[in-house]
Amino acid sequence: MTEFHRLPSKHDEQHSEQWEKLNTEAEIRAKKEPTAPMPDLDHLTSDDFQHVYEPASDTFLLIDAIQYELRSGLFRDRLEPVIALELGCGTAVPSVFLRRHWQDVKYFRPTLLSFATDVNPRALEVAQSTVKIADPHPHFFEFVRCDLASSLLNGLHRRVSILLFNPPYVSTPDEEVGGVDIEASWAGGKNGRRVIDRAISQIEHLLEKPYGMAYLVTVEDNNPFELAQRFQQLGLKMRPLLRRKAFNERLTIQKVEWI
Amino acid sequence: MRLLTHNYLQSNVKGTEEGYPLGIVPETVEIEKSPVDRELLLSILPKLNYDAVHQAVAQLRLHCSTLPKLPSTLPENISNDENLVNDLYFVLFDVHVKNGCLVCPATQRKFPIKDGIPNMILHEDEI
Repeated sequence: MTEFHRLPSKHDEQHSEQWEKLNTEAEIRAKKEPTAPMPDLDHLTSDDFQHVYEPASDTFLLIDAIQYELRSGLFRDRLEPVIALELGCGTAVPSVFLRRHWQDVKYFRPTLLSFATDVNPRALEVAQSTVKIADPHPHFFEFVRCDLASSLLNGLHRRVSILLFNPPYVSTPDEEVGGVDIEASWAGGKNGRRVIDRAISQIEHLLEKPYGMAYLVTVEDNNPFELAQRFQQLGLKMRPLLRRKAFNERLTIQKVEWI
Repeated sequence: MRLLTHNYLQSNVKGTEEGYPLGIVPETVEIEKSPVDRELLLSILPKLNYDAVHQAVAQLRLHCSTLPKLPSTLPENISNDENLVNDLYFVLFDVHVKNGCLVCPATQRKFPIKDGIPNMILHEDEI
């Protein structure tokens, strides 16, 4: 993967070109990655999806990215248990996928302890029922109703090894941000960055050093290039991992890790 | 809500300096036995606050007397004490507080637990 050796600047054409190159590489990786199998959601009803975000292209790309990382040997041969945390989990499909495939195939992996948060009580209900059906045993999956990771910040400080976040990234008027029903799953305020920006410092606070990583969904409206600079100021590197065009947006899974 | 989760939770009510550890007022407690994972327990122990575990178990014992009594401080050579390993694994991983509430130690603000999920959402005037 192409690497930056200094802080990328928005006005620095050379680095902008490098960022485009990273995007192209992420597109190629996404094309090569076989479609990850979705956990079964037959137990959910259309009424559930009136209130809870139904898995769509962004969810599918995120589980493809998890599959890609697991196939690449993520946390293989580690002995310490791994704590995973999903922010704004909705149906929690990405976390459930991670758990279902954690012990796949050829690698030894340690116990995975999963936590997930959401502001939407209906989402947590739905996620809990999915875990009961689709999670392998023995399961450790705990849910907390809170805003991002606000109630877990001290407890999980530097303890999260895998952080998953499919944020509300859609550009909307700022007034639409802050709900607790389905609109909370997409309404991102100006440039779709209102919630993402609040998560940046939490991600930095939670990630285990030096191996912790976060996987974050973005679209072009979010100005990922500038977002990468914000992370870099905190000692974190954000790079496109998988990228795919979907309907009217370019979805990217950004991987965030310690420099 | 397992007690491991309780160990990681804090109250963020405005003006709270130390919203930890949260008190537990249980209404429904369920036990779901799972095989003791000794390695998991021994590697997670250094990553939690034992005083908070001890306090939580003492509070739950008022409601659920079958819970083991834990020592007030953790002995040094815990890996040799099989009974204590089993007891700690049991309280952290097999005990589920299904309903009840958590209480902020600084403000006494109650956070309801419903179907095993604590609701830590704050009102606008509490942030």
